[in-house]
Amino acid sequence: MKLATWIFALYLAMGAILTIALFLEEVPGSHGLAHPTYEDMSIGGDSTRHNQVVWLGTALGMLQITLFVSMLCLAIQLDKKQRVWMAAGGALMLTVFVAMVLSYRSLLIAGTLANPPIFLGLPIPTAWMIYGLGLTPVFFVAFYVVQFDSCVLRAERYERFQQVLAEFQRTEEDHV
Amino acid sequence: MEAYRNTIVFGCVAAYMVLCVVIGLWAMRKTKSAHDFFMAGRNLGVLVTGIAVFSSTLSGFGFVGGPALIYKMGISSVWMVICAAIGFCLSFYLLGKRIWLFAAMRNSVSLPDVVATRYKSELSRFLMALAILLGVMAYLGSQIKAMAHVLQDIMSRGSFWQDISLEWCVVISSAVLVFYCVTGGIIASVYTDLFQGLIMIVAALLVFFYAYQALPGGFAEISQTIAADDAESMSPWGALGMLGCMSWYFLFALGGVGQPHVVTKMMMNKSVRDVRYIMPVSIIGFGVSALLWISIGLAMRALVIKGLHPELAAADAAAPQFLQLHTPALLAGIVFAALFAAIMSTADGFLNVGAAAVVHDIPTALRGKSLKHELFWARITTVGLAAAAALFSLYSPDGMIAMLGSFGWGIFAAAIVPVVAIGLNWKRGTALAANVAISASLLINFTVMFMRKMEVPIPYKIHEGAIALIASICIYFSISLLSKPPELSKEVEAVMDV
Repeated sequence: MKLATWIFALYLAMGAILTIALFLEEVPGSHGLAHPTYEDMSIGGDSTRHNQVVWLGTALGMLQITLFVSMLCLAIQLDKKQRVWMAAGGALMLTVFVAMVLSYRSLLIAGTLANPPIFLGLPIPTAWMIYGLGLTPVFFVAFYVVQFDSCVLRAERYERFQQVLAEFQRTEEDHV
Repeated sequence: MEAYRNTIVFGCVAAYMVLCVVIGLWAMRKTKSAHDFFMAGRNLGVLVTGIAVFSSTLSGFGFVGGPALIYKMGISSVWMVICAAIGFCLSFYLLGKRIWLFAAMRNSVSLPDVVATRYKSELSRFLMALAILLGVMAYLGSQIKAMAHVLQDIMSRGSFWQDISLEWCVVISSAVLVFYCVTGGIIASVYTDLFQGLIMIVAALLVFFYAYQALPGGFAEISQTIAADDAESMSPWGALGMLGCMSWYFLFALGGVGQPHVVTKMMMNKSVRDVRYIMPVSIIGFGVSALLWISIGLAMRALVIKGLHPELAAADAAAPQFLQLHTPALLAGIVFAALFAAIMSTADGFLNVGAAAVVHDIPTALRGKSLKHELFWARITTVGLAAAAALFSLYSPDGMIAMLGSFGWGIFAAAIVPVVAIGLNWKRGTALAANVAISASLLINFTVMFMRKMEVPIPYKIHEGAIALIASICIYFSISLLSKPPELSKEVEAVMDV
């Protein structure tokens, strides 16, 4: 399957998930409730509000990460080894996302969500989210910087572009 | 020093504005043509471009609206921050190289120029310019209103001009913005962005330090306080819930690729090879500045819950009140200047792309050539756009500005992501698909705005912008695949093969 077709399929799948969500009967408090004491604050309330959509949400998150990594590949030329590196980066992001969801669910089952274990100032699931999901794309930044000459801007292709550009500019000047 | 708090805050903001005017005067000497006015002569270095890209991305919303959202709903809005790294990767991977090459091929001065080259269609140019203009007008009003409110807040606390009206605040803050945008065009814009970005970085680092000290146990105690009050607020989904958060993650990661005032700056660096280093500069700058967003929001929620700070009348007061009551006067002054910097660095980019749409793109699409004396008309148009947005921000009904700000963002994302981010990297994309996708993005976003006005709820608070973005991308793919493959010119082939 061509990469663009694969990306289109991912968008369709995401569209399907959102459509399903739009037709589900909403659980009360699914997007928060007013705080009982402070007027301009909301609370999440009962965590069971996610039971109905946890699979949809997880699937949506995983599709998004797969989509983002696929779209990164759309603009660069990768050899076999580089493809493996990009796939590894995607797998890393997916693992972190799943770890975040699982750690949230495990605290929920253990009943310790209100008194969570803390890692670097944050509850473990939130730490997975901020430190993990927020920082794993650094992998793709490093890849871009390190592999720039071989997969982003290859010298021979850029030379070819410059030749066409020079030719085009000559033609334009002739027209003028 | 505390006795002079208001004077110090006002002094910092005034000094910042004077410096913006000085940069405008300096840039005026360097602006000799429309190409300089819109593209900075395509001669910018890595640091200037990198910081300009991130500071244009982070608007006043990041400094006021962001902390307010965290105060209001806990961790939910952090999804808008943590998507930044992957969002910048998407922007630079998809466009960093490609858009520069397209701009080099035709000496383009705007995004619609690039679109017209790619699709060989003046209709695509026109529709893109129209989408940008509508988005700019909707968004610019919200930025100007935010600037005026902050200025009024600062002035009302001092003794110099306590009862200043909102109208005067709009006039003063817009005058500074317009001055440097008119005199120095995009050159002034990017160099003020550089200065503005550096202020944001310093301010965010210092504020993070003070927020950390808000409770004796640091962020661990802040987290435990919030979780003990409501466990879900401190979980990854916050009060908003899982599906709402995932829709934000998607929209803000991918939608960032569709912001014209940001994307256009990727055409301005001196060498295409510079994008290799511009991306890390932008990401680091944004990441550090976003510390302010997260730290103030969490600290204020915990302080209020603990009873160490009075309840806020409105969540939007979270950042201003934290600065006024929990930081030293000089830092508050720097952060208020940074707040202006954040708003202005976004607004100046909007003014520039909006002026390009009016002076260059729409006339070129309609009559085959841009206006005579383009530089002169660009300056006049910049004043006109700012004046129209200022009037609109003052006299539109309550709530309309915020709605239009969101509408502008939605239009940019839904119109530009498929046509530019995908289209410049996929040869199979057709002009027909581009035109339908842009038109559909306008239609969908108008519908969404109407639905919001009618208060039609979307289940699970899934962001309507995410739905519009997916719809316009699916339309673009479907029509492209169903229509005849386009015949690309030799030059376009050459750019897309690099």
